[in-house]
Amino acid sequence: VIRRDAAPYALFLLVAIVVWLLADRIDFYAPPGRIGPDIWPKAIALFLGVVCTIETLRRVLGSAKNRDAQGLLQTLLDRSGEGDGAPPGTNTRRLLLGIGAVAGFVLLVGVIGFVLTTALFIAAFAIIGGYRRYGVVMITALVGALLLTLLFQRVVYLSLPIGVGPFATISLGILAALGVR
Amino acid sequence: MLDIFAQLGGGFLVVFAPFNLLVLTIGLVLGLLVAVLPGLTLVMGVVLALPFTYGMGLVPAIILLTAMYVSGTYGGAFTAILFRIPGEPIDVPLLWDGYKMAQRGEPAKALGWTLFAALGGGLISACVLVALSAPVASFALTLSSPEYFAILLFGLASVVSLGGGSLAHALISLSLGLLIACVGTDAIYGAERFAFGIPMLQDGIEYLLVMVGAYGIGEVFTRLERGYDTTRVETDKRIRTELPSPREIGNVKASFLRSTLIGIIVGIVPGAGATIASFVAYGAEGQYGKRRRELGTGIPEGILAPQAAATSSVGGALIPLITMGIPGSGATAIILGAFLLHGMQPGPQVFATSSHIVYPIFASLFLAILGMCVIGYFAIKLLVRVLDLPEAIVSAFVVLFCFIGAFAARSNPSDLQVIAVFGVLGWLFERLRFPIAPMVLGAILGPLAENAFMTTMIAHDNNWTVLFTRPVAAVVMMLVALALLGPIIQAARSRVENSARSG
Repeated sequence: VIRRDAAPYALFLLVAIVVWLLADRIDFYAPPGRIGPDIWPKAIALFLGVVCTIETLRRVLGSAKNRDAQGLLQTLLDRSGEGDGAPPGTNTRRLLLGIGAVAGFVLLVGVIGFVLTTALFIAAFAIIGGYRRYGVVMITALVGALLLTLLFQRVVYLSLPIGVGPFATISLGILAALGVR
Repeated sequence: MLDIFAQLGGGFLVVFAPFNLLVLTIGLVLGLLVAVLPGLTLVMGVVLALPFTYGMGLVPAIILLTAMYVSGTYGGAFTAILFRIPGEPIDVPLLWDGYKMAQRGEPAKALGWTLFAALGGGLISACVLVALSAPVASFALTLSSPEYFAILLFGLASVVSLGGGSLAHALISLSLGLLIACVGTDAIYGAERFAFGIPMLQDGIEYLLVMVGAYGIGEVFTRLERGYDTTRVETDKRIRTELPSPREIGNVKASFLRSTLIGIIVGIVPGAGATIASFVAYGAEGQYGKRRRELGTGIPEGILAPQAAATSSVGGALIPLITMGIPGSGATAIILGAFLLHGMQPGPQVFATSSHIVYPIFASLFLAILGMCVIGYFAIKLLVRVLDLPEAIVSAFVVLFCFIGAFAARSNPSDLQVIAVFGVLGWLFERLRFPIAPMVLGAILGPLAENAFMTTMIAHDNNWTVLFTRPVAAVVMMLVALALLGPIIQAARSRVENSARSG
């Protein structure tokens, strides 16, 4: 029976095997007797595979209850009673909404432009994060988006996405109002 | 020696230019603010500032990032001592004596000790940086690819053995970082590796994207899942700093010098940064300090040791960066990124080719340390007000700065997708208790290590034994073995001790 805590190591072992097989298929020409560009990734895959095999076996055989070898910082944190750090979060819904907001920004920024996406993102993320003063959220989202646009267009000279179709027109209008050409 | 003083003097003149002074001040204030805010770490702060440096010259860019780096080691002390909120892991040891001293009714005194430690430790480490860099660079010029490979391997081994988390998790994290660095076109043969014909991957994965995603967005996700702290901190109490008297300083001079030395040495070791320096110095105080039995009760030595070590680690960490081009910590990796983006590769040649750039950077470190203490002394009340900002809104801005930072590097919209993916990976790592630092350092040092390895193999007819027959390489390889075996031996010893105790 494979123990549940062995799963991440088994997964990384699989990654190591896949990397090795992919490295075997790298297309290159090397002069005779010279090592090729496949050697380095293969060496890392082999190393990863060995570490994961040991850890998987330790968990399957039940010897992982012994204390793991750990880094110096972890040892110092353990001795000080701070080793476990903050407990892992439990609010999965909030996390998924947060990841969704980030994914939404990535997908929308090219379509509706930086200014509008940024304003929407600030508002959405603040509300997902549990901030409930909606007036402050709206003002921060609008002012924040305009300030960031001004900062990055005028100070950093970065060309930010303006979006497509009517959104491009809106973005250009906002930029013109901010004095950015 | 006189030449060094002359060049350093010239460096000060460059830093005194109005724009450089302005950048230095902004860097100090931002570094202090980032250190005070619990949701932002020093490394994240330096990452977020990077896009602002693209439009600057190299010198002001490095001045800004170095100022943030050094003041980031100091600002967290305020909230750790006054409110028991460590802004950074660096500040955890300050809770044990600093907060206790404040609780005893002496917060001003506790803040005074951190100021003295940061100032003294920082200035000594800056002097060591100036004194050691040129000789280290001259020595580095004598090294060849086998030695470089061994040194890089030591950097990778030490981030694993000195960092947080279990050894196995750190090794897996490191391997993933090294594999990420393999994606794209290989530098020697021009062969495409793991790109699957996707143009975004053919150019390789920039380590800045890995850093911004895993450190910045990953941390935001982790804190979002835990839930943001909405408790308001009482910041309107009378906050001031009371410096220790010369006599009080005389009583703790051994602790101060020991901790500063520890900070510099830990800073030089690749992979170990201010956090490890802070903990090791506190541990050394508990082992060798004159008042070791009173440690943890709120004594000055317990404040002085971690703070002096944390700030002095900055000067130490800049030595391998400037003289060998090897970043030993997250913050120095970003500073290296700024060097490269401005077309300069730090390394052994730097004093011969770019001393007009190096000495202003050295001079800026002295001024940054003085400046951060002045700002910390006079503006502490204002700085801690930042704790009133709602974390949900701050986090939204952190994500946006991460996106813009990633976008600004190459103006490639696909990079946004890459950092979002690394954000999720960073959260997953945190959740499964895999340390992120080895992955990031693997992604940074991987290409350098592969290049040194391939050059060694090609130059020595695939004879890998050169790594053990050339004296310098052999010594460093021995250190690599020690670094990797150390945690295993330590775990075995504690197993034996535990079974002896229970049996």
